[in-house]
Amino acid sequence: MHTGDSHHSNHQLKSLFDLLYLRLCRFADQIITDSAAAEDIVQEAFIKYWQRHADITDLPAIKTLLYVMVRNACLNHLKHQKVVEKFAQTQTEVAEEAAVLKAEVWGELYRAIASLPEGCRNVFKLSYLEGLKNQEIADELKISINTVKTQKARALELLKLRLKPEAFLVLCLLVSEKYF
Amino acid sequence: MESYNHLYHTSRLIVKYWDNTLSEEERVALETWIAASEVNRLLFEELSKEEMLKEEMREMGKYHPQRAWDRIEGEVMVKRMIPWGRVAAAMALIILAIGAKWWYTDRTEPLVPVIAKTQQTKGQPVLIMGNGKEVVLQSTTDTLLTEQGGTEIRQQGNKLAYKDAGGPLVYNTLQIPRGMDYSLTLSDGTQVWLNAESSLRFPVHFTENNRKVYLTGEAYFVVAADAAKPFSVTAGQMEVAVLGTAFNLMAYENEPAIQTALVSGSVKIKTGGKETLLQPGWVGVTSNGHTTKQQMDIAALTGWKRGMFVFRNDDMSTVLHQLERWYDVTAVYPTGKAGNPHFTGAIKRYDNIEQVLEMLNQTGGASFKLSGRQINVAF
Repeated sequence: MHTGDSHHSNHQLKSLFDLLYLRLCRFADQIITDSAAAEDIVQEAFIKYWQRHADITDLPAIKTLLYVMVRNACLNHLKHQKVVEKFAQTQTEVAEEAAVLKAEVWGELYRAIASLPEGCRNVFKLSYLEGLKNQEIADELKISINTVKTQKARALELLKLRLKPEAFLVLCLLVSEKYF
Repeated sequence: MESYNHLYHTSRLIVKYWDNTLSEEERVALETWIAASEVNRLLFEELSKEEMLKEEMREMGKYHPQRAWDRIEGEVMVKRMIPWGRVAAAMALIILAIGAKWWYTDRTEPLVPVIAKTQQTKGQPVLIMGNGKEVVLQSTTDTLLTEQGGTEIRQQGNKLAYKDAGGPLVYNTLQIPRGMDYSLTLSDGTQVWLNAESSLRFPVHFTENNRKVYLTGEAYFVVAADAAKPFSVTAGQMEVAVLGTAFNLMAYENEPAIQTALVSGSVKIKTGGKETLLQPGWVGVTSNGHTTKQQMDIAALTGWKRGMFVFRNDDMSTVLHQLERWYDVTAVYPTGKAGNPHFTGAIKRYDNIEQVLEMLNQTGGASFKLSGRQINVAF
């Protein structure tokens, strides 16, 4: 039962999920402004994609399919909530494209930051996201001020290395499949 | 079908802008895009603002990817397994050789901590205080206790929290019965989630230059950083030394080995004078005073904390032990028999054991029958 085929597929779905889940949530959340419902919608889109369209392997095509499924489910959700008229007035093609663009940019930056090693990430978060000074960070994390400085430099260095085109990730995925 | 490819291209340019890695050609392309319309200009302004980055990172952090993945994995696999279930019934021999599998869906939010319902009344968690007094903790009423030296102990639902007030070295012991899990905040801010049938002995206030606690059973620790006072957990003859980290320690006496699964940070396992250093994603497996390192699915090992049973090619005794602890039942099954089925999958820790046994039966790998508080297994 535990065939090699289902195993590699599962692995492939997980990679897609890791890459796209949060940005799709953000996209849905922008449309319906309800984070719990947004998560439900995105989860259902992943399940549906996998059951019906797993034959599509081109990453941009998969992404677009998921965005479209999520968008349609969001519009349905709003219809259910009977606020569709209100939304329809603001919903234009331009707004939709803006929502995709935002989800893509923030999603990619989040992924880059989240994949930093833990020590680095904490320093980066406190300094760049929460605006603490070096000494405050040192006190907060109970480390020396010099460690804070090195971790900051390292975070920026790593961030550059990690923002590779997603195509690279998918390439790795396709190569690694051979070993399952 | 619609295409968003031009958007993916633009987003890549903006990410590179953040990253400061735009080539000359790309910079021109981005500037051209910005200049193409007022809408584009406003969008870029928003997408390049540090304030917005901060806000968006916070927003993105509030979703629950692990919970989401549990659900997707369960649902995708159960659909895949339905036709297989029928084939399996006809090919029982093959299944026993390869191992049975079952999956189920986590459709609802896991309730953690949670209490399993069985027919009879269950044990209650007990706190043994410094003077030896035993306090039965009722989840329905909130309690405020005070230890020697003034340490406040606040109990709310299935949670216990210590507030440091200095004082002498006094130990408390928290005993969790079968059928529930519990969360505890120590006086230094370290968080501990105790699984069913587990107990932890710990000082109400950490006095000296170390923080030592003692575990039987299973717990997940998120240790508060304090380089001056190393934290350590002792389980039987083994000790885990930590400095600010998250890990799961499974040390039930009826399991063949102790497992230390490191989620983040670093820990050192000390057994029989030897030390083993773990990296995140690795599990230290200790048996007969000897520790080896293995790479395992950490999210599976910590599934109980999310209200799930998660199995990864686990044998019958591992599966049944978990049911025994959660539903306070006894399992009777053939041991030492060839073809012991193995299980892989995720399932919610249901209120009701019948639902779980029903799913196990559907795998066709073995039959599970409940009579009173005993599970009879045949395969």
